[in-house]
Amino acid sequence: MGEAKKIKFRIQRYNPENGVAPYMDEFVIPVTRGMTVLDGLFYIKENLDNSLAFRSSCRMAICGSCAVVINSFPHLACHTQIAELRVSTLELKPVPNYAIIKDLVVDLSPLFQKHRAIKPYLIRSEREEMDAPSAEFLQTPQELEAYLQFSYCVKCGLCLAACPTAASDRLFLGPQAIAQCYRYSSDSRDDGAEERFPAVDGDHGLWRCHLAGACSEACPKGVDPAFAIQLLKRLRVSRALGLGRGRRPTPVAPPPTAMQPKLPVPEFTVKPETALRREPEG
Amino acid sequence: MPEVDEVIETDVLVVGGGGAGIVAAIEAAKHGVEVTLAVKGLIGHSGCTPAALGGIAGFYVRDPRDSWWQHFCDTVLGGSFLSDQALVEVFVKEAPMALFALEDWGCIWDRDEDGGPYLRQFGGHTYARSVSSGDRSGSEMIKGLKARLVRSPVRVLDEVNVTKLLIDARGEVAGATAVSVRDGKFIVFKAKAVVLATGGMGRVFPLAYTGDWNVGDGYYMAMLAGARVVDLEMLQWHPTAIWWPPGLRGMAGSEALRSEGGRLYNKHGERFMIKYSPEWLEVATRDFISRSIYREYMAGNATERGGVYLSLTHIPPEVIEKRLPSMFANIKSVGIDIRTEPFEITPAAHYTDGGVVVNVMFESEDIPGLYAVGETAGGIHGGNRLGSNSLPDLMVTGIRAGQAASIRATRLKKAGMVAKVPQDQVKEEMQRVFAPLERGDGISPLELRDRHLDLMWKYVSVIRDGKGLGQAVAEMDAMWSQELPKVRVSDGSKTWNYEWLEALDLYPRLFMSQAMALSALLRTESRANHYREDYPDTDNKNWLKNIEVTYDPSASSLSKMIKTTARPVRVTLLTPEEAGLPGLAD
Repeated sequence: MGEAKKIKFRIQRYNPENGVAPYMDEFVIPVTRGMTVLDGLFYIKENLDNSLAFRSSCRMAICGSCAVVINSFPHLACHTQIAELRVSTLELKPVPNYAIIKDLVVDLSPLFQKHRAIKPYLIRSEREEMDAPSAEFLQTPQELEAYLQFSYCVKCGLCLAACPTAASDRLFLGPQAIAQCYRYSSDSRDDGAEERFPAVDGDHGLWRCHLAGACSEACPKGVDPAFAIQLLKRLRVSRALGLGRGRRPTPVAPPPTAMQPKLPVPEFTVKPETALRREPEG
Repeated sequence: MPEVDEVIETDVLVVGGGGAGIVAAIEAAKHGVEVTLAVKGLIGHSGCTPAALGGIAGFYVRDPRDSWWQHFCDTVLGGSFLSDQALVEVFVKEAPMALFALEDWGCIWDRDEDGGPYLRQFGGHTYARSVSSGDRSGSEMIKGLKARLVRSPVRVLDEVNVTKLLIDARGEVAGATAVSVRDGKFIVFKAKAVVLATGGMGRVFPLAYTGDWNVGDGYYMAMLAGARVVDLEMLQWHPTAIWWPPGLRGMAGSEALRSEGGRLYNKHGERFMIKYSPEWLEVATRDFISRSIYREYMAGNATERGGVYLSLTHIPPEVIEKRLPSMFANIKSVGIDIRTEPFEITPAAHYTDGGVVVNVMFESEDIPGLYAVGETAGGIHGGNRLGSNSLPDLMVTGIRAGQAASIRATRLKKAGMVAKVPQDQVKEEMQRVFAPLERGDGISPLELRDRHLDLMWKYVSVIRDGKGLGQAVAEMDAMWSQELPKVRVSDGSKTWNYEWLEALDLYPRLFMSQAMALSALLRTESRANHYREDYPDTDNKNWLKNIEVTYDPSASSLSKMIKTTARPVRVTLLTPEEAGLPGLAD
């Protein structure tokens, strides 16, 4: 295709097996209109160097696997147009604040551990409803709107990579976890804010954020974690002052009242236990 | 000779970390057994669930006209009557539970003013019965599932590629072998039950909506262990996957593109749907559009890049902005303005309707202790899956299989049974897995993969015929016996070696593709997603049958190793006569 342009990819390489310190490797690849950085990486892997390691899965910015630093800024490789960067050389490095496994692949477990720490699920006083649900909860479109933006997080880890506080304090919970703490605590179906606060209260929690805003700039899904952190600070303070404690979570939907007679339903002919070849015991 | 690096003992091993695998793991762990979840990619970041757009179907009490029976009939008829009705029955009855559970796990839905979920109607469903989260329902669902997973004692092993099931002397599941993608460690799992949640096999075709690693490895492992797999010839095609611009290649082009008036053109600028369907043009059914595009390719009318044009330039720009906001924004983000410029689309593999033959607890009918869930299980969707039926499918199958697996593990534990791992199977597998790294000279796995993809696209895809299928079968036989044993990975590294993964994936790729081609060859009619140019009509008289494939280890060639058998469909509630299928008598 006539429109191909040559672009240089400088990629940080590292293989723990050979004991060589990370170094920069160069590849020149033809770039056509509409090609993403991930397409470029695939081109290299398939045509120039099979040993290049990077992560990807969905190629449409929804799975959050392909976070990488492109010209000093963390991006999703599948969501970044090569042409849009307007440079002739791309420098790709693994995202910082994580340990490198190989080349551009990093160990994301700190991100997942921090996420886990803030109890990222609905907490309700009716524990049995949490485990054996009986019906849906009610929630108005307005109540949904209040936190919808913060639910767009795909856990790609870009915000934690961009965060200057996380760079100097490895234990800092980080924007992803704190924003998710707000997302769940502000969900009208949730009643667990108090239960989550101990996780964000400590020395490495909520109050370490010094408002650099780098997380929100890096976020590919428009979550704006920096804003969520500020909202959580407000929520935390107001609860400490005894405000807003009266809020009850939205109820479980009541059983339907106006059921119409149903269509003629045939008899339930297959009982699970008789259809089983071997009956499970116990 | 390499050694086993790690032996992991667990009660239940779940293979695959998409939606179905997570649900099965959560459910099994709830009943107090040890659960290990091994994922080829990163948990919740791989597989197809996060990329699902549509919704979650289930008869909800909010619409009093709807019933499980209606959902049942829709599913069975939509599946061209090939569904296993016993499975469909449990599926539709338990689908509403999927919503309640996901709601409690924190998923968010589009809402009605009264606070209940907003229901959408999808193609083939009689009523609006699907909840959704805009066009990112799968992504929202996986967040809810992960939220539930973090408060569950499941042990998650990311980036572990399970390669083989271990079967003990009694013919029951004893565990599995795996290699770690991160460091090449060879792992042996000892387990009392194994749940396969490895998705479908869309990636045996050049373009697929599925995750990168969905090459049918679950089906392959099950078949090798002795399980039957059914309905493989039924692979759904979606007509308008984006082909160009390359940055969006493989992304789903919404149905709305066509319903809002988008037009399809070949490389000569000819609006070819006039030729094929003057009445319906671009709003003909999905399968018809796919076949029309494929015919254009066969006639040499593909564009220079290999797709066909989809043009919206005749539509007023404000209509495009208002009616197709996300498609407009997505394509704009890679530098193409669909208001003024056409882009290119092509059919893509979407969903594998078939799968492992299971009973109503989603346990393999052939191997005690082996379970299959989600896309890996066969039977619910028959020949064609309705939109928004796959997300509830993974909930229902995951919950049932998770429960059954935990019951089995508890029973074996109480009885003091210890899984006996057959050492000869482990040794043999270790040799197979490490061989491509150790060969001095040989064939590139990527090169063989690409040739195989071309072969599949040419002969086993949208339009099939006896001659082409025969050719594909013969070529795959040769690939299996002459080329596969010579595959060599150029870089001997065991850390994150992509070429090695591809080399290992060639086994399921070739094996399951051959099973698909043989099933397609046997079905001498056209039905649902299976279209034979030499048998273009649906034959309800002779073909209300499912095609099952089994493995015969004694055979010499690949096509002889795979035995195909046609058996009558399982009818429990709705007979073909009651459903009024045409052409039954005479």
